[in-house]
Amino acid sequence: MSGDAVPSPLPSTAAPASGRPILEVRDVSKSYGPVLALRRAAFELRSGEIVGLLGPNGAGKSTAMKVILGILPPDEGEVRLFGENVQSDPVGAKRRIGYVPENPQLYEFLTGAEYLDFIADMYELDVEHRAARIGQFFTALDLKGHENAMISGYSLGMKQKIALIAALLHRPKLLILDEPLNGLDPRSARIVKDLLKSLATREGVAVLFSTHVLEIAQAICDRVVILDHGSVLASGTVGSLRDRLGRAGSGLEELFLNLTGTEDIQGVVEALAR
Amino acid sequence: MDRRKILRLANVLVASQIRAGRGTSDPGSFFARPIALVLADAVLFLSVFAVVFEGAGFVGRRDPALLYLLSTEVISFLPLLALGVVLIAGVMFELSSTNRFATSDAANWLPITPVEYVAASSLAATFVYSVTLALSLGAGLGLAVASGLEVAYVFAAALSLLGLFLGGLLIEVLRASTQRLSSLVARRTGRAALALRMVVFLVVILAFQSIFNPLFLLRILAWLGVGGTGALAVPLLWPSRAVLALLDGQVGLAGLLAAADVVFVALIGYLAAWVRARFWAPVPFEQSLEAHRYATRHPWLAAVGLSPVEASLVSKDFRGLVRRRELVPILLTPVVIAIFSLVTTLQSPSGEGRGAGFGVGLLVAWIPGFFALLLATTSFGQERRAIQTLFALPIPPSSVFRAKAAAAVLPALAFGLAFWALEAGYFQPGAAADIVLLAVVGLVVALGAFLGLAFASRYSDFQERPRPQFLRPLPMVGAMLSGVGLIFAIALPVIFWVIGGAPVDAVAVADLGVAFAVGAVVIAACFGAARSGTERFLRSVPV
Repeated sequence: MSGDAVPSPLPSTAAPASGRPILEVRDVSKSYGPVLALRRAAFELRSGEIVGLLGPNGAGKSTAMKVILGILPPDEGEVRLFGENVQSDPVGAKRRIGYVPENPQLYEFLTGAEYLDFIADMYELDVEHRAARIGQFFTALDLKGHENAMISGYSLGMKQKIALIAALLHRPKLLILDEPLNGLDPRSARIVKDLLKSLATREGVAVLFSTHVLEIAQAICDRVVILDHGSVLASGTVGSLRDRLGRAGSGLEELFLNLTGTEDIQGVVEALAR
Repeated sequence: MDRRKILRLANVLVASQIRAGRGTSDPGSFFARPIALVLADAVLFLSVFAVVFEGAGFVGRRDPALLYLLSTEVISFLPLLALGVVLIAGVMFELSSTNRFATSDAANWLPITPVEYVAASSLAATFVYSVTLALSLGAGLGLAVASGLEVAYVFAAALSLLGLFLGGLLIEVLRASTQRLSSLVARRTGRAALALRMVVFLVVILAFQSIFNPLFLLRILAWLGVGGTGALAVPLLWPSRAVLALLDGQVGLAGLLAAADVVFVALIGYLAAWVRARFWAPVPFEQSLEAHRYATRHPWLAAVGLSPVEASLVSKDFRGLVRRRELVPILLTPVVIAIFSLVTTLQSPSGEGRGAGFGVGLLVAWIPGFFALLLATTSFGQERRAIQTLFALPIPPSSVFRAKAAAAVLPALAFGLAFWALEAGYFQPGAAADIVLLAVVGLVVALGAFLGLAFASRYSDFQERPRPQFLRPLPMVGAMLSGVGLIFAIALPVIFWVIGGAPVDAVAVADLGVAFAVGAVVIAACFGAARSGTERFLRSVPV
């Protein structure tokens, strides 16, 4: 990690991935009209764990994240956060979750500072300390000097950084990050990856994040959950998946392609090149 | 100029407008295709024709001269009405594309020339607003057939269609101009630049309506005492003069004016293409403001009973209202209507008489109520895809409801109180009238806000498209019609009471009491519908 002072979300208390699950996704199904987006999906997260939610486009990753956050009600099954059904107290659940959506949808007519102040208001954070905390994030993520510019003028990466700060500002116990490294420059991506690892190992924050960059998932995730057509195809550590599929020495990309049935890539490329 | 490309693009733009909603509707369904508008036009046209024809026959049997007079007035007015409606609706609803989307719209980088884009966009506007033309032409045909003016009607209908297209072209001029205005303040620092932009917007929209909208132009000409031959110098009035000339048997003059109108439309088309090519500035709106102070806690919003969370939500919406190009026309609507209403009101010497009384009613009752309705109907849709933020944050639905209601009520109430003070100070209708009118301001603002929220919580549109709308088109029509009807139902008894000298007697007290009681019941019903709609809406993220 770089030498920048990234703010600590919680007082430092070691919390290894253990104990009761923070998050339990129990046989959740969700349809959009005739399209079944999630089919009896089930997995869990424990304190201090980083879990990668992987899958092809349209696999149901974003839907799963919205159901976990309580902003989409499941058709069947339930999501429990700290043992409580998310749907029974959605506002309480949201207070404990930090969420970065797939594409940062921000209020672009606000400046970066105004937006984060607004977010801090929504979490009812202490006014006295928020300026220092937001300032630390601005400095660490190279946004210093842009805080009073309207977000409409920001690049995609800058918007993504604002969305990340908004998710971390209230020191959540669970982070749900949908493609959080989209548009980030290599330095910022490294800072975010290291920050996530630090939050998990030092503060016991559980992190569920989706990405299409499998190298990143392999590098920072304790476990992966692979979704396809709304169903959980496999979950576990990369090593356990390797053993299960009998593919010793394979990387996550090979395992993923093997599981999701996209090994015919060469044929597709040849057809397109014709 | 590629005609196929123009038609294809126009088709896409129309589809973009009629497929408003939550993005889950079936694009293959009949009602999601532009052809559905043709069916709606046909149904409206024939229905209105049948009703008016029956009514005209009844009037004609009793007073043929009155029917003829009515028919000639209506038929000659049709082309002006078509243009006027497109311009009023266009200013309010056609400029709602965000700056970000406007700059990343595929039309910017596809091989489409400015002429092709302007032609396609104007055709799309003509098609979308053809519903209003179907209504007026249906009524016109009913009168024309009943009074034997079929030839003049066909002539007027053709000119009306041209007027509709002219409206579309003028909206294109305004669209490119406002985009240019946005880029004028880009990269400038400070809130003063934002204020400057709003003032410039107001001036441009006022000037635009004064110069190009015949409905306003006629008032201004009447105010200036210009009529008859003088009006011939105004190109926008040529279609109506042409129809009148034909009705008078002056076929040559009618043909000449119609030809001149065609040339005028072509010139405006050329202007629109030129403005698009010259001023369309596809750059993101980039601006810095003064350093933000984190200590702000919105004390004046807290003073009206809002919690810190609710006050912050309202403050966010207010900032959007004055900073977002696509919302500025909504903010300016009451100002524009007020200025034009005042022109009418002040025509009456010393503000006395029926015209002045009605003008007072418009200012105090109609404008604040309509403004609250506009703000509330757009309150959820204007969030666009950032509506996800409201869902992801730990905000109780009751707080969202209170904040959205306050964001509609407070600005409308501010306008209402300003108009009320103007009315009390300038027209001086008396203490009793002042008190009653003050109560009316409160009632119509509450009605507009809750009715608007009831629609917004059910039918908002969050999509970013070439022609986005904040509320789906049909519910928008429903909200406007029901809102206008209910506002007038509350306000008219009071307006007539003021016109009648505001007597304080038993009859007046009873009449006003009934009006206010009915108003209170309607407001309570709208409040319930708005609150339940908001709670239901917030259960499932729409995008």
